[in-house]
Amino acid sequence: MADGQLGELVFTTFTKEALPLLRYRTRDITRVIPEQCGCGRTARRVQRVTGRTDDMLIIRGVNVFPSQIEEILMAIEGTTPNYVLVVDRKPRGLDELEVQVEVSEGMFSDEMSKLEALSGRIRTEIDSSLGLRVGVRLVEPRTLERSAGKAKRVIDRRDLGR
Amino acid sequence: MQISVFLENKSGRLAEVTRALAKVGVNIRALSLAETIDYGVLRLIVDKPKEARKALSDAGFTVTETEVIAVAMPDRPGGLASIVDLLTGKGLNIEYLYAFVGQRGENAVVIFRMDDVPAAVAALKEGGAHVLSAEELGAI
Repeated sequence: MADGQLGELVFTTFTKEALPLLRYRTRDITRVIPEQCGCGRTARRVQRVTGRTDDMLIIRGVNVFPSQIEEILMAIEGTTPNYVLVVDRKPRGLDELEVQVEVSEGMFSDEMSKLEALSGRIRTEIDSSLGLRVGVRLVEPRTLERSAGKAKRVIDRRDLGR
Repeated sequence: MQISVFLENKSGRLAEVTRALAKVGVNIRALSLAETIDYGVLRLIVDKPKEARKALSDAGFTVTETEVIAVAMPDRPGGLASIVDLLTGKGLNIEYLYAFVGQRGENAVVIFRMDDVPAAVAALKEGGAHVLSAEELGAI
């Protein structure tokens, strides 16, 4: 993997004798930062983990990480709204991804045109950064499923067993 | 002051709004509902906006307050046209409006949602239209 390119973090330890790791796959998505740190350290660094390989969805051949969608929502709203990704496949159809976003008071407007512009903008931003056309649905707050602790971000309704 | 509520197109949501308002004794004066396939925006004129907002927020709804203009006009043909002319004549853009007829039936009240509220109020008053204050609106 070239420096700076996103990929899975894999460890092999050279010096450990008691508990060696050989190509230990972390399933974490990150990249190597070769440049010197702002603090002066010159060692190569590993970026903060941006996602997990097991989170990855493949929608019509496009790899999608929930963290990418999250970044886009963050960029548009300034905060991360609560969201859920719903993947579905119609019989003999293609995969469809629907992004459901909870409307907070900061995003809400009494004007329909502004709300439509908001969902349109989310759709366009996802299309231009992932190259994937998705559906965007605005939903009421606290309607999306929450599991204890970690929020459940992906609902996959595809029947992949066939 | 208008209270707007975000509603998903699901059965029973409107009933929950009205129930939450009834529980705190808020009376709805006028309302308008705009909708798309997935969701709608319910706009309400109520007698006690502060209480209404709190009750709806507490019930988990996304709520916002908007300043709107209420104009009383004679309930006869051409009544609305003359008011709208005052606004469009000044190049003011109306976002949306809705109307209701007062209890005595002599006057109709139109609620205007404008981009530029001060300019619209000035244009209306200049044209001799009867712009209602919040108290007058609550008393209808």
